[in-house]
Amino acid sequence: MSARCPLSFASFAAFAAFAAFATSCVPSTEELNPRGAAGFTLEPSSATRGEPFSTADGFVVTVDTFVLLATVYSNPVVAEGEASTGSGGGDYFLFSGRRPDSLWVPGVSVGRAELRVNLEGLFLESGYEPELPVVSSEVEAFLPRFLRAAELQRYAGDFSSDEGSESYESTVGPSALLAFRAEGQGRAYRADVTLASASFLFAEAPIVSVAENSLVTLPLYVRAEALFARAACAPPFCSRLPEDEEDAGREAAAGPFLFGPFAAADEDDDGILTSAELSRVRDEQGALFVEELVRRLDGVLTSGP
Amino acid sequence: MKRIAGATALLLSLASIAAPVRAADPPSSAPELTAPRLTTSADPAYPAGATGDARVLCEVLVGVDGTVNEARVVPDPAAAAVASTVDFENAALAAVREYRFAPALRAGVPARARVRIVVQFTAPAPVAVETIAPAATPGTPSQIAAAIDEVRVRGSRYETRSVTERRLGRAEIRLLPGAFGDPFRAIDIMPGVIPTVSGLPYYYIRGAPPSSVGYFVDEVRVPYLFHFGLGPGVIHPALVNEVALHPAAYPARFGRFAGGVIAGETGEPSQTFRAESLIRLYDAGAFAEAPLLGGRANVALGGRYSYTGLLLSLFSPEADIHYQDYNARFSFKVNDRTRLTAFAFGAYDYASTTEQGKPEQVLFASEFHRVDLRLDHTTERSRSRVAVTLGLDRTRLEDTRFARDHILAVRGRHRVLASAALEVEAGADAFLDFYDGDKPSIYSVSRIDYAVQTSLYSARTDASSGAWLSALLRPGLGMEFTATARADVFTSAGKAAVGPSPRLAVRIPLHERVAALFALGVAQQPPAFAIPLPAVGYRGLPGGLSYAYQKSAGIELKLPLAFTANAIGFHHSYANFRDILQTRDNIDLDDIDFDSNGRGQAYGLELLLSRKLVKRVSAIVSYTLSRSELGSTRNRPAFTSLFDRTHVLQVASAVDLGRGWFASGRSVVYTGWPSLQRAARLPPFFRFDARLEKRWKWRKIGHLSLIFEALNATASKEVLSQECVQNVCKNQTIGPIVVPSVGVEGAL
Repeated sequence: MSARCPLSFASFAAFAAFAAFATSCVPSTEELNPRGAAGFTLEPSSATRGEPFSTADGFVVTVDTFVLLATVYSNPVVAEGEASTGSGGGDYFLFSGRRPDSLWVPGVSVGRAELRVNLEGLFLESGYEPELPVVSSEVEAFLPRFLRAAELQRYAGDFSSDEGSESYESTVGPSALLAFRAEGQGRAYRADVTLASASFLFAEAPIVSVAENSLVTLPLYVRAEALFARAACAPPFCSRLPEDEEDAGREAAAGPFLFGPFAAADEDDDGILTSAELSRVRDEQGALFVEELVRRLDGVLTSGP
Repeated sequence: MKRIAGATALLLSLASIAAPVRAADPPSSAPELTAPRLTTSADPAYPAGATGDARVLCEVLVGVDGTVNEARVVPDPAAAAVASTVDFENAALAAVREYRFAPALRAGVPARARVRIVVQFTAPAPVAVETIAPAATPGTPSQIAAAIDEVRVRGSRYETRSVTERRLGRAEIRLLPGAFGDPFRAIDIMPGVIPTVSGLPYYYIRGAPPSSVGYFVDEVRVPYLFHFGLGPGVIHPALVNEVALHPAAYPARFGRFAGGVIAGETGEPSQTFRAESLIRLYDAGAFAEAPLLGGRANVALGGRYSYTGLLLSLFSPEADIHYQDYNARFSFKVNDRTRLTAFAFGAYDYASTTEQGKPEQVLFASEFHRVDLRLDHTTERSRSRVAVTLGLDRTRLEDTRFARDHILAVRGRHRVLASAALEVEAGADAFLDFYDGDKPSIYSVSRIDYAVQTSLYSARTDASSGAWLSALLRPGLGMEFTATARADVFTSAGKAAVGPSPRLAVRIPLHERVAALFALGVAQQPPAFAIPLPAVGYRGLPGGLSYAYQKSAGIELKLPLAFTANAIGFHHSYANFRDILQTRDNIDLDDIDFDSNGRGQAYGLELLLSRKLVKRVSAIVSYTLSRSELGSTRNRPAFTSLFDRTHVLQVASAVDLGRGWFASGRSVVYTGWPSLQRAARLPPFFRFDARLEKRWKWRKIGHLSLIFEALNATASKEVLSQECVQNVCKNQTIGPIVVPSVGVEGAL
């Protein structure tokens, strides 16, 4: 098409203005849910860090390795009856209890959020890839051991759904790995064992205030020596029950830890304590020592010193 | 009334203009020149709704093969006596593009030549066509003297056409329903183009996914050609002269895309002022072009602005869509052989949804800008181009975070007519992509998201460069052999890869109206996202290059009543293709650990029967019979592509109803996708597009049109999946996606 008319400056000015108006940049104004991170900073006890500690029965114990599998959860706090519109969640960690690392959950909505931590072993299901934890480089070499240990505990079951029943296999692996040495009463022992899964929740989840693009942490105290705790239970795992106040005073003065139950597991008397040996030790009432150890794991991670 | 008979193509001689370069009177130092000789003409159609007489002066560039490489309307000294309008001009251009010549000879060697032809229309009574009838004219020098107005031997702005390409001109595109006059939206009527979802301008081409299709505007790579979703093209239609689809064995200058190339070409700078505007329910656009400095320079400006949000707010307040684009071109003729052009264009897209009580969720927010500076130099036997392109791509990731790609590209090529039968082109290009992106705070997103975004958006410089040598041999009898040797080098984040890309295209006439076509090609590309996103790409060439091995053969036919047809059989093999759309359920752009061993193949038959849509009654029938398969990988066995469609049939027709009324319709039907749950396929899809235009002329130099158009006027729903519970399956549909349009178009 052609028209025989001259171009006016005004015409092109109008078009130039139109072009300038039509050209703009991608806006960036929408309001997003601001988020930050919340978690724990590990505070290992001196015994967990490897300093020897004494037990009431005359042993000196040194923790060489203490590796844990745990999930840290952080979710926005909402008033009762209100639905949460914020974001939160949990991350799964394999970490050394001997290092003052931080375990934190990113992407938590700004504001009040609760914090929880669970000791959780690897969950394996046939046909599914396991959810692997965030692994710090210091403990990377331990992950295969946790996987192998979980595989050993695989069991079969049936899964029912609307479309019928099908068999499957699953397992929950150990959540702690402990290596220690102990000397006393003229004997020396060592152990490098995994401990069965345990679930741990604070009685009351602590609350933190999450700030945008920032990390807020609370201390999480790690006490490997809690596994050697002297608790009110039946011998030989624990101290005998005090007979009177004077006896109780003597028990307390002797110290909070006992090594005797571990020493009792050394069936072959070779000084090496295996998981199999530990799993067979029972107290006077027939209770398994490993179950007691699981209970003691509750005292390994605490929110207070 | 047979209006076709009312048209007269009158080929005039203006001896005073032509004399200086006539063969009979050549400059003393110039080689002897023999003018092109018309061998075949075509009847121009008298435009429907037009009245009175008109004459149109056309300038055509006759190639060394005798075809019309280029045709345009030029100012006519006699225009004051008998003016033309756009209808006459379109009709005249459509006719002269069909002309065939014996090429001009310079010193006995075929050469390009520019000639001027007057096409005269007489109405309303039928008048005998005074064109030079082919039977009477071949080899008749006296008639050449009458036919040629002016001869100027020069290089063609346009490239030699590939024998494998499919091309649509603007006049056809304008009438194609569902394309909304947009050149880039019209390409989906071509066979071999398999739609993903009706109306969406993302295609599989011969089994290759959208991520492997390259988009170019005047050889400048762009991330996308269409605005988001169902939006129009990013270049104003008035600036686009033609759009070509190269499904295989592309021209040498195109590379680094394995699944086909869609290339738009802007028109020649106009020697007269022209302007267009279009106002629709959801957007408005305008374009103007004018010569400056006595014709030595030309400036063109265009743009489009959408107000879709206003329309959407009436019935879908949670949705927000905006798009805008701009085009500006300045051309300056340094001398008769050299032209400097600056072409700036860009586009912006924004789409979001807002659910009640939640923050706005941005679906797509991208923009790109290009400035291309090029210098073209032509001589009697050669054409050269050097160009530099600056670009900026930007995609919003979230909040105030963006991915950016600053682009610096250079290219150059030189095409020379080595002999009467041989053209050779050598060229090279290089692209530098400076990627960077705003990473999120490590505390604000999940660890996986942070790792992915760190991988994708860390600053890096990707380089890709290519070089090629291409030869076009015309040994005679109409045969054409185009052989190309091309290789590209890719580097990204310390990784490098070299991709050879040889190509061969052959056209062998078997009969006066029948020719055989063959194409072989290898094409490669670096890893790409499923849907092209500006400034977003994989770093470090994960998995290496993807390769396509393209093979096709077929015939083209010239049929009676101005119909043409072609049938092409093809087989394309794909290796190392990381098509993350291997599963429709997992279109995850964050997936950076995709399968790198993807193999696949596509094969089929493409049929195209057409009568140019600029004829009074015209039609296009496009049919593709194909199968696309993905090979086995370490994770799964081979299977039919989940985006495979066995049959795709489109029938479009346009009718000039007279008195300024034009009606056209298009039917689209295709096979459903394979079902994920069953061995069967999803139900087929059918839609009908319609267009109706009423045009009023204005002072014989412009027009005003009222255009009603609808994509999917049948309001058909498309089945995208099935949900099965205890072997009872229910179809999951989308839509109906209906795009109605009422527009007012004005042109000068």
